[in-house]
Amino acid sequence: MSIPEETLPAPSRSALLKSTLLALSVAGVLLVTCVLPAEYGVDPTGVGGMLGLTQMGEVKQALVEEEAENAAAQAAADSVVAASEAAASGASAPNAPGGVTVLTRDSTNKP
Amino acid sequence: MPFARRLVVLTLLLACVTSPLFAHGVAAGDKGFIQQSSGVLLAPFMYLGAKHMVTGYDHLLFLLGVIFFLYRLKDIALYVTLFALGHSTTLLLGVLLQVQVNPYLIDALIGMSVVYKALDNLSAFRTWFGVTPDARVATLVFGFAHGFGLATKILDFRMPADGLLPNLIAFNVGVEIGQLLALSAILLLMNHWRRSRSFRPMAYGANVALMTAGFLLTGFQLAGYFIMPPTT
Repeated sequence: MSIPEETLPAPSRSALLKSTLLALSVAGVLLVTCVLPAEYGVDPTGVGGMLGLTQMGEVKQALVEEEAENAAAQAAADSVVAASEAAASGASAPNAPGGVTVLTRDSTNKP
Repeated sequence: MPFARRLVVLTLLLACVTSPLFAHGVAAGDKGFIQQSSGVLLAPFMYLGAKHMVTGYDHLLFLLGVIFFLYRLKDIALYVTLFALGHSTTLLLGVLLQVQVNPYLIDALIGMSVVYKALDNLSAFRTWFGVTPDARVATLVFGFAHGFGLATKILDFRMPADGLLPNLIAFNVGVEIGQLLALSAILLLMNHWRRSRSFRPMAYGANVALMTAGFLLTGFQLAGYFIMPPTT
């Protein structure tokens, strides 16, 4: 990929630095006032709360936690089922007297 | 170019960048489907790959940056080939070897790839350091990063082992198709804009805006890395 001829005239060092700092600070302000409150319920400046975005983030966080709990419960249930199936077929591992072999879906999916 | 037409083009560009804001990744419905699926399902996985590419705003921003000054078919073909080579490698290896990288870190890197491309378009590296990084190497490296991002997401979907390899290849082909679709749309808009008189005065600002978006994306993902619980 050669450098195309139709580029902009190269800006001066200071103009470029100013633009980069501008980009960085606009991104920083948007991040702290809008994105962090709306996505994660984190509101260091209080602006997110004023805009009503923090609540949205808090709801999202709660849902994520709920989903993680459900997934953990599902994994636990799966492992109990797997263990009882193994016990029923008499094929449980001899070195696992407790019988609870944690079989995550990951380990069954190894190609 | 009349003002109204200019407005239409700008709106289209904006819509192209902002509309998929909430559609990143594969939705719960797709995840559910993948976990229920079994056997070789070429068309669905191709569709999912294309969908990921067309609705992923991080990929679209990166593409916008790449296409900004790229219009010769030869250059575009080279870009597409290198990028495809990069992400196919890490997508396949990442899934088959089960290499899990934290998706927030990968997405932060993708955000930085947008920043890099915007700075590159502004000739910043030449101005600051006297050298321009080889665009071919950069494209390949960011291809690797994007592929790892995809691999991490696929591992998170817990794709069944049954038919894994053909499904993965179908997904990868879908990614290619989606990439070409997105590329054509962006190229069309960019070529239209590039020919207009508003392009030169606005190109600098557009790349600063692109860099801002890249920084924002990076901050968003880095914050997620520190705030969110690990997904696995």
